[in-house]
Amino acid sequence: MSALKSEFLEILSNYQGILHKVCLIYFNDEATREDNFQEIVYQLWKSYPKLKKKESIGSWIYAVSINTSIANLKKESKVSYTGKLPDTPVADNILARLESDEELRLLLEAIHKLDDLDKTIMFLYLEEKSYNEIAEITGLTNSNVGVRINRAKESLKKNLNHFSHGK
Amino acid sequence: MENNNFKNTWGKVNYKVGTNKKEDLEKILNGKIKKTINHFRMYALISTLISAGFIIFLIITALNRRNDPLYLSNNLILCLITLFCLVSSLWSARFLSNYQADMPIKIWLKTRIDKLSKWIRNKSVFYIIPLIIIMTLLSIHVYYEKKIFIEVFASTESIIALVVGLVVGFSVSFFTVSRIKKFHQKNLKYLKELYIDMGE
Repeated sequence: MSALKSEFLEILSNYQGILHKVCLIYFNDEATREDNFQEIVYQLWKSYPKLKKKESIGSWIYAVSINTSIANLKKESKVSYTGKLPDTPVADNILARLESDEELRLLLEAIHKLDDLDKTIMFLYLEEKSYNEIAEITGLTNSNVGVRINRAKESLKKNLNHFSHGK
Repeated sequence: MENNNFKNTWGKVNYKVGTNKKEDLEKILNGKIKKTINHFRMYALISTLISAGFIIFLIITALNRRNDPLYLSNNLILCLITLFCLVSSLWSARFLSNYQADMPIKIWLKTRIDKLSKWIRNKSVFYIIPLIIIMTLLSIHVYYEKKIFIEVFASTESIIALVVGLVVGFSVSFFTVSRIKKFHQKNLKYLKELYIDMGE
């Protein structure tokens, strides 16, 4: 294995939680999540040699993961990926493990109901990203980030109330 | 759930999402690289084989009709168009799949929108496919009629056969191209909506 690849896998190993969470908020179906996870890993690897600011690895991973997921969103119902990779070890059903936590399950359901932009903003907000970081990842201005977060929070609250009362 | 609790609740995800070992991640990466390369190779192989087979057919039939300059011209032009289509389709497949995602979402959306719009705006495929159909039909028809190129146009039966072939060929190609464009237009619409929603 090349030194570059080894270094990349080390970083990926440390930050893989971001990838899993991005897949979790954008896709309902486990198989699609797996495909998307693999695609994100590939896209990260493709752009890794060009990564100059090593101190903003987190923002880079968030941006690539979200962009790749958005690119795959419209394909979800249209394109079925041709077969699974041999021996892929990602097939660990995250949703099944989250089911046990009612609060978390409700929150996820409410996030899934948000539109794609609100979903993205809310995800970054929940990940404790600062306005500056969210602006860097999304390309929005800081002031717009604030407005968007408030809007997304309102929508999320509405969704949560809807699901809570539906119980 | 209270507003403040969103983050606390979400924080639990960190303990629940799975983690793969470095070796597993390497397997995933290698598998995906292999799959992507194989996918492109398969596409390239099939396109090249079909094009090569077609070009061989054009050369053989042209050699058997060395005394018919119009037939030779038709086949020669068809050969060149086939080669051009092969190269541009392989380039286009690489171009569409070889996008970079390492940029802020808004800039990435704009880049993707521009690339897709450019591809959709390109109308050459609507002209090239019918042209290939017309010339291929002429090549095959003239060859098996065992007449020279110009004589075929003197026969009513030949003209009818050509017209029927053309109508069917046009319909099939138009339907196929429209389907592909429609799929990309749907993607483009979604990306544009998202971009507009980001405002400013």
